[in-house]
Amino acid sequence: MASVTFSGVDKTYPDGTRAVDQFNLEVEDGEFMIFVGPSGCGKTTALRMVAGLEDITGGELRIDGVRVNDLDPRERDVAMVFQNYALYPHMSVYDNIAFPLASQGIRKSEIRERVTKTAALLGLDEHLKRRPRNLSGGQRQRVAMGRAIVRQPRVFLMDEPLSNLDAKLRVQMRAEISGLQQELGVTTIYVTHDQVEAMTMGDRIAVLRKGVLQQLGRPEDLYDHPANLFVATFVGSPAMNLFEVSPVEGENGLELRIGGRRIAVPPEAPAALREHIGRRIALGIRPEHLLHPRRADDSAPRLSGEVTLVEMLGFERLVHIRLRATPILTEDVLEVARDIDAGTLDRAGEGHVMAVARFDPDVDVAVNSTQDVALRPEKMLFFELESGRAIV
Amino acid sequence: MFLTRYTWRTGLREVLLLLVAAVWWLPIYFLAVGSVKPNEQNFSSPFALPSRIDFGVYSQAWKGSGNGTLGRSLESSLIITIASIVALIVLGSLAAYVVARASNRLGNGLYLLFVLGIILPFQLAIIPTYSAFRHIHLVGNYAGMVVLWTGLLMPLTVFLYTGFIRALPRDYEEAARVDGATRMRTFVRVVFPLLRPVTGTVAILTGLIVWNDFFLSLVFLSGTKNVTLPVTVYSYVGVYAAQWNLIFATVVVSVVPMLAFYLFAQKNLIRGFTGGIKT
Repeated sequence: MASVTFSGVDKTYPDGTRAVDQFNLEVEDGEFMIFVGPSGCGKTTALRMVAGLEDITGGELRIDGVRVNDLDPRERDVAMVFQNYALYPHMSVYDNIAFPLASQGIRKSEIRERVTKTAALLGLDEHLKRRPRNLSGGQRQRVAMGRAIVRQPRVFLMDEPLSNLDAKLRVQMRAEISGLQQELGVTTIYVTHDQVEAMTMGDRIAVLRKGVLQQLGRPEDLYDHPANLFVATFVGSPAMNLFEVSPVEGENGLELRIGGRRIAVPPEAPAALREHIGRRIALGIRPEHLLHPRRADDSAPRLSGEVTLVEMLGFERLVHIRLRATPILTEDVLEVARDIDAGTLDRAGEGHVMAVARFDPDVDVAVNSTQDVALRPEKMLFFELESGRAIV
Repeated sequence: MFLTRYTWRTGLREVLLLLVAAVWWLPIYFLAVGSVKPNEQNFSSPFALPSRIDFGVYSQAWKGSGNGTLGRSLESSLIITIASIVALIVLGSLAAYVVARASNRLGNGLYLLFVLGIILPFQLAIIPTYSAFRHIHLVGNYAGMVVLWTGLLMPLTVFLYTGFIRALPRDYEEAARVDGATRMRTFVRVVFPLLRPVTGTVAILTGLIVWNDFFLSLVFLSGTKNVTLPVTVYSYVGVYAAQWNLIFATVVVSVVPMLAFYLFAQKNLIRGFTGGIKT
């Protein structure tokens, strides 16, 4: 086990593309670290740099305090699980798992013992003689895991290992990988673009965008206190609702102008909001903090709009409401929207925002009806429009 | 439904295809029948079935005449062909791996150089090559022929291997590197086994060229006991009369090993041409 330290790490390709830019991060010994971000954000490049498969253009990468910038992959004692598993197709499951041990020149009897133990741990005992092409997706995934853990490396690197599995299997493997990591206690860096995986698996999450670290923190920190608009929209599903607002001085103190209405600024709102009076800023609120009026305090600020869609998920009801407000169309938000679903922004129409509220399943809401929603005042988040930074 | 219905058109198509097949089989018929016919019948009625079947020519050919016996030249052909194929596969696959995985510029440059080697006719350099080979005692022996063929067919081999390796995902090699394998171990244990289809193609294509060659064997081996089958066949062609039954028997013997090898490696050959790795 070991710590992994990125100190101002850069990766610039010969054509000038900057894949990773001044990356600073310390993955602690035994920690499960998640790198998350949209396609092309540099997360896989950062991971490959740890593996030694990608040259480091600038900065320093240390494993357990030792600089590894110029070390060959085999000298780093790290194991990697690839997105498509990269199982050797001409070898049996046994030989695939044994390959890293054989490469180290370990005795055959010890190899047999360790492979058998690993196979038992992963439930692969019956499949040791089979070829990868004769295995199911989940079994292949386990073989790839087996090949990584059999070596007892200092660091595990996982590059979107669940992206090729179907939804149900993904949930199962997610739990298995988390459990395995806790059992083995090996420092792990896990790359994903799926923020559910990121939120559920990691001790800490690093959100990347265009090669730059946006925020580093525990899953709940990222969810409740996103550092900027990009993290706010990227983390959470359905995404955070965002409206353009303008703080103004009202009769009873500070108010927010939103789509022709005015709502009172709650006392919990950050004091720094005063510095933005008269300027346009973004108000963000998570779907679960848009409440049905019956479940909210009378004092909670309200908005109202037309219900366009109700998604019943059994344990909750997602209500899509078309609210009169100005949408946030900064590059941060658009990038995430493009990554997830380019259509979301178009559906609301001019001067409207398509908001999503997470209601209890027993609350009955009809499509095409007008629905009031209450905003939980203490959960309202504010961001600068130009820089995207959170106002705190 | 339409395709499975047997109509008069289908029947006509079948008859036509059978006729085409018959035309293709005609030389093989000539060869097989001609080798067991008395020689004079090959002249009097070349198309007819043999009046009597005589395998005697095979033993006569085996004993041989002049320089080469059939047995000895079969041995020469086999040794030269197999050794050349092995050398080409070992050296060619390694060279192609470097060419395919080198940085873009270097890789492309080397690749072009090899392609140029396919285009240029080797006959241009036959005299200096012969003279150089004689100086280093590589004329008239197996080693010389193997060196010659390995050099001449290396461009084709590298060309075939490079195309295949370039289409091979790098993930396997990267996984092997992270798994702690050296470059050589990665090649031997991971890359080379994945090249099996194209290795089959290389073996058959180069094998056919070496096996069927007449010119180079004549130039570099004639006058020795190491001549290959095609040269031995030629020795049966006299100035005034040719021993056609003997020639046919030798040709039958020379075709059989290649045909057997082709049938054995046919699947790989086709896959090598069409490319791709199934995971």
